[in-house]
Amino acid sequence: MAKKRIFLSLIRKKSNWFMCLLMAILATLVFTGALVWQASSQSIKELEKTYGSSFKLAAYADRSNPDFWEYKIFDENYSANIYIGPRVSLEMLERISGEIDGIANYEWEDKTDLMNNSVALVQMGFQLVPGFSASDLKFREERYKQWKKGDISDQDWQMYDEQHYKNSKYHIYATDAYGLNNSQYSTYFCNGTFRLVSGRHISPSDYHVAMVTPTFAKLNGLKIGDTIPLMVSPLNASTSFDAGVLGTVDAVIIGMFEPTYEQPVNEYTSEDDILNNWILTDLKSYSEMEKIAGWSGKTNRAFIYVDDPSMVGDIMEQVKQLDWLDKRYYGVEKDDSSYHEAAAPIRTIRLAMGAGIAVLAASGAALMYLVLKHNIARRERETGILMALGITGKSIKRQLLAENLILGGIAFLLALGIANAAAPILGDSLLHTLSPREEMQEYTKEEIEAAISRQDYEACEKMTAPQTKGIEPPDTLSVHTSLFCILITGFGMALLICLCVNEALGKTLRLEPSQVLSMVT
Amino acid sequence: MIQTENLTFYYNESKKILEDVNISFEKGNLYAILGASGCGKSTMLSLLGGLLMPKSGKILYEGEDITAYGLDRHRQDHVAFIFQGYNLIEYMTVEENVALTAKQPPETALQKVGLEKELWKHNVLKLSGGQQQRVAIARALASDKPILLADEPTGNLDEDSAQAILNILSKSAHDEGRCVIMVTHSMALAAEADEIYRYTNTKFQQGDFGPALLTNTENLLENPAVQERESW
Repeated sequence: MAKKRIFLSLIRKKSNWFMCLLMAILATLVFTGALVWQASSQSIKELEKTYGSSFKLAAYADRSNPDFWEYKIFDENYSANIYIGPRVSLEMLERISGEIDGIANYEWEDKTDLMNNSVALVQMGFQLVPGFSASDLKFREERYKQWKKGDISDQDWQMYDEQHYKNSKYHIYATDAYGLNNSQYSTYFCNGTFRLVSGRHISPSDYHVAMVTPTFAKLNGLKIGDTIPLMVSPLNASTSFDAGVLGTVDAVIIGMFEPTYEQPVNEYTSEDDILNNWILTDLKSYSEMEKIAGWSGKTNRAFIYVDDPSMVGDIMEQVKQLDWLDKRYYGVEKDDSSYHEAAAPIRTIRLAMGAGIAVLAASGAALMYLVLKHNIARRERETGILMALGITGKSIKRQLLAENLILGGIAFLLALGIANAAAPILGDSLLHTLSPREEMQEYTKEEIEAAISRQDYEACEKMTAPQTKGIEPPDTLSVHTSLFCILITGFGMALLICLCVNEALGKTLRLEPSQVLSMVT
Repeated sequence: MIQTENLTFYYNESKKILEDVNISFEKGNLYAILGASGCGKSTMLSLLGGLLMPKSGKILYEGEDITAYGLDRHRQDHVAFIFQGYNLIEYMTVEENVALTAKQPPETALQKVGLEKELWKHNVLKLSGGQQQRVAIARALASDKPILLADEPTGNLDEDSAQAILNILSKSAHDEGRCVIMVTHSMALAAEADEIYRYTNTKFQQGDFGPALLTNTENLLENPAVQERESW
C-alpha cells in the first residue's frame, strides 16, 4: 500500500511537481557548473601534459646573511649591493642531468631582477632591423648638424651633445645575445615563437656557436659557417663610449632561425625587441661572456626539461632528494611559464565554476530545505490521518523520502540532459569571452604618437612591444559527462533530500497523532 | 475487551479532564458516550484509540496495557477511527481512501455503507458530507479491526443519513462482533446504543438515563479545559 500511496501522491499532488521543477533547475545549474569545472580542469591538465615538461631550479637569496652580499663600486656614477651567495651554475645543471634519468635539457632564465647579476649581453656593431634607436639617432644627427650651443637650452644641448650621441649610437642601437643549452627544447622553439630554417640547433656539447635569423644574416652579409664576434661590454657602457669593450667571444654560425609570424615593427619598437635582430649562442659561451664581464657566470633560476611530461613530478622529487643540493639556498618549483598565459582564462573559468557550485549548492540546499519543509508542513494533516490509521512514523517517513527521491531522480535525469547540452555552450562562450582571439595588430605611427601625446605610456609600451605568439588556449572546452560528476551530483542530491525530509518531518513525527490532527483542523 | 484502570488525563494539571476512570467495553456491543460538545468525551476516545498517552492509569486491551504493547501497534492492530471531520486523504478517490488500511476488499465495505458504485472512482472532495462520512466508515470497516471508535459520526448529517450511519455501526457491532464506541451529544442517537455512558465532571456514569435527558442535553456538564483542544 505504501507504494500505491507514493504513486498516488506523485501523480496527483501539484506541489510535488513544483518541487521536482525546483530540483531540476538547481541540479541543472550545479551539474552544468560541475561539467564546465571538470572540463576546465581537464584542459589545464592537457596543457600541463603537453607543455609542462619543465621545472625550475631556483636559488634563494638569503638576505639575512651579510657574507652573501657585497657592496661594489663600479665607477663614480654607479655602485650596488651585489649578491654573491649560492646560485645555479652550469656545473650543477650538468651534474643533475648526469645523475637523474629522463632529463632532456636545461636552460637559464634570461629575465633580470635584483638578484640577477648578469649583464645584458648587449651586442653592438651589427646592422639591425631598424627600430626606435635608428630613428632617434637620425633625428639627433640632423639636429646636431643644424644646432650650435646656445640655440637650444643647456639641458637640451646636453641631451644632444656629441659624446652622448656617440654613446647612444654605440650602445642603444644594439641587440641582445641569449644563451641556450639545447635550443630545440627551449621555450622559444617549443612554444612556436621560433623555428629552425637552416643549419642545425645548438646542442649541449656546443661551444662558441651562434644562431641568427636570415634577416640579420642578410643585413650583415653572413652565412652558416661564418664567425661573428660576441662582445662583452662593461655595466657602465651605456654612459660612456670611452669605456670600450671588455672582451670578445667568437662564435660560428651553425644555424638560422626565424620567428613563425610577422612581427609588427615600426620606428617605436626597440631594436632589441625585434626578434629578427636576436642572436642565440650556446650556454657555455654565454657563461664565459659573463665571466669576462666580471660576474659569476651563474644564474638565479634554470629551467630543467624532461623527456616525458608525466614524469615531471617524479623527477622534481629526485632533484629535491639530491644530498649535495643545499636545501637552504636551492628549491625546485613547478614551471608553468610556457603555458601560464594560455591556462589563465581556463583557470578563471574553473575558479568561477567552483565558486558558483559552492554558492549554488549552499543556497540550493537552503531553498530545497525551505520548500520541502513547507511541502511537508502542508501534509501534516495527511500525516496525522495516516498515523491515526495505524501507519507507523517510519512508514510515513519512508513514503515521503521515496517520493522526494523519485522526484529528485527525475529532476536529476532532466538536469543530466539539459546540462549536457548547456555545458559546452557555457564553457565555450566563457572561454571566448575570457580569451578573445586577437589578431596580431600593427599599430600606425599616428596611433602611437597619439598615445605619446596623451602621455598614455602604458598603451604606448603595449603598442611597441613584440607580440610573441606563444601557446594559445584551446578553441573549445571538451565537456564530457563523467561517472564521477554523475555520482557526486546524484549522491549530493540524494543526501540533501534525505537530510531535508528527515529534518522537516522529524518534528511532526515526534508529536502524538491527535496533536498533529488538532494542529491542522 | 478494552478497559481503563484509574485512567487520568489532563492537558493542564490544574484542570483534569479524566480522573481515575474505570470503565470497560466488550465486543459485540454498541456503546454511546454522551456529553456536551467540547466536554472531553473525544479525549476519552483518543486515549482508547492510542492517539494520546494517559497521564496515569492504564488502558488494557484483552488484559494487556496498550502503552506496553505500543500505541502505534495498538492503532495498527486493534482500533479503527471514524472521525467527525471524516479525515479523508484529499488527493485520493473513494476506493483509494478505503483501501488505505484495508484488510478486506474495499468494495465489500463500500457496499456495506451503501455508497453508489459510480462514486467509487470519484475524488472524495467531490462528495457530500454524508457520502464522505460513509467513506470514512467504509475505511474503518475495511480495516477489519476489533474496535471501532466513532467520534460524532452523524454530527454533520441530516436525520435520514444519521439513521443510516447508525444502522451500519449497529450492524457492525451486532453482526460482525465488533466493539463499537460512539461519542455523541445526541440523546436520540445514544438511545439506540446497547449501553450509554454519561460523562460529567471528569467521571463516567453508566446507565439508562431515560427520556428526560432526551430533551435536556444542555444540562450535561461542559468541561472548558478541553474545549480548545478537542477539535477533530
